[in-house]
Amino acid sequence: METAERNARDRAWLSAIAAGGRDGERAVAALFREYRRPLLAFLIRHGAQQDLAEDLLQEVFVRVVRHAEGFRGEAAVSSWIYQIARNLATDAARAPRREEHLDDEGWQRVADETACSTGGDAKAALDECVNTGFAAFGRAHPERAEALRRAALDGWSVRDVAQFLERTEAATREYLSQCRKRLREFLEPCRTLIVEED
Amino acid sequence: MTQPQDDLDRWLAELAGQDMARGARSEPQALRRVILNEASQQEQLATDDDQATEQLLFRLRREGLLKRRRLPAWGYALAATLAAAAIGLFVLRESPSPAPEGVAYGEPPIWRGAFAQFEVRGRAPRASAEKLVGALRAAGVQADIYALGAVYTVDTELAAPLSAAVQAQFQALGIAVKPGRVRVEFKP
Repeated sequence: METAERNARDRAWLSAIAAGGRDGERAVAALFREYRRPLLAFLIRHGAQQDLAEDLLQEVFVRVVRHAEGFRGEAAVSSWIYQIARNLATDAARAPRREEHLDDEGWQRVADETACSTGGDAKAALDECVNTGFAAFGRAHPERAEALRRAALDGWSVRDVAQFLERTEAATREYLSQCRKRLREFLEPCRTLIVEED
Repeated sequence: MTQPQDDLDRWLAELAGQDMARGARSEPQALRRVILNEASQQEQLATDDDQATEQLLFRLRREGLLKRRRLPAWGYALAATLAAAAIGLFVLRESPSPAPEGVAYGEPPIWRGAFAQFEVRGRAPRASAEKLVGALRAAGVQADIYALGAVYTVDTELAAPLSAAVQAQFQALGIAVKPGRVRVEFKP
C-alpha cells in the first residue's frame, strides 16, 4: 500500500475512533492490528522487555483513543503514534538513551565488524555488509536509526520525522543530513560494493 | 506526502521504496532491504494478535474510552418518538381493554365462611356483570369483577338493611339476596 493511501486509511480509522460507536471499536481493532507488531519491535529496540513492551503498547493505544479527536493531522498518523510510543519508552527507561561516542578503538571495532567480503553475489554481499554496518549504527545512534527505519517502513517525510522527534522541520532536515553522514561512516567498508546507476 | 525537494528528500523517497532509479545496488536500496528484513524478523516475535486486541478493547471499555456514538438532536427526538410509540403499542397489545367497572383478570379469591353464590347464564356475561357492578357502586356498595375465560364473577358484600335499588338489581337477574357476602357468576 502506498504511503498516502496508508495515511488516508489511518486518518479514517482515527475519525471513526473519535466518532465512537461500533465503527469506532472496529477502527481501534484495525489500527491496533496494523501497528502492533512493528510497535512491539520498536519498543523492544528501545530497551523494553517483551512483557513491558506489551504493556507499553496497550498504553500507546489508550492514548491514541483518548486523543484521537484532537489529532491535528499535520503529519502522518504513524509518526504521531510512534511519537507517543517513543515518549512512553523514554519514560519507562527513566532517561533517554545516550548515543554512543566512538573512540579510536570503537571505530576499529566497527571497521572489523563491517568488513565485507567482495566475493560471490555482489548484491547479497552488499546487503550483508549494510546489515552489519546498520546494526553498528543502530547501537551507536538508536534514535537516528529509528528515524531511518520509519522512513523506510512507513514512508515518512521530513515533516513526519519532525513530529516523531518533536522538532521543527528545519532542525529535522539538519538532523537527517547528519544522520545520513554518520551512517555513511558506518557503511564505509561497503563502498566498493555500492553501484549507483544515475 | 511532499514531493522531493532536494537530495535529502530523494534519499528518503528511495529509502521508502518510492524512487528506485539508482538501482538495486545503491546505498539507499540496500539499506531499505536490510531494514525490511530486520522488521520482518522482529515482527515474527509477536504472537496472538486476537488475544492482544481483546485485552486492549477490554481495557478501553473498562476505562470508558470507547464512547457511544452521539446522535444528532433530531436523532434523539426520533428515537424518543419511536420508543414512545413502541411502548404504547406494547401496552395496547398486552393490556385488556378497560372496562368501566375495572375487570380483574384471574380467578376470584377463595372465600371461606358463609356466602351466597348464584349463577346467571346469558349471551353477554361481561356486559351483564358490568351492569350489575355499575349499579351496585352507584348505590354505594363495593363490588368487584373477575374474569376467567368466558366466566365473569361479581363479588360483593351487602350490608343490612338492603336498599330497594340494590334489591331491584338482583331481582332483575332473578336472584333474591340477603345481607352478607354474595358471589354471582355470569356464564354464556
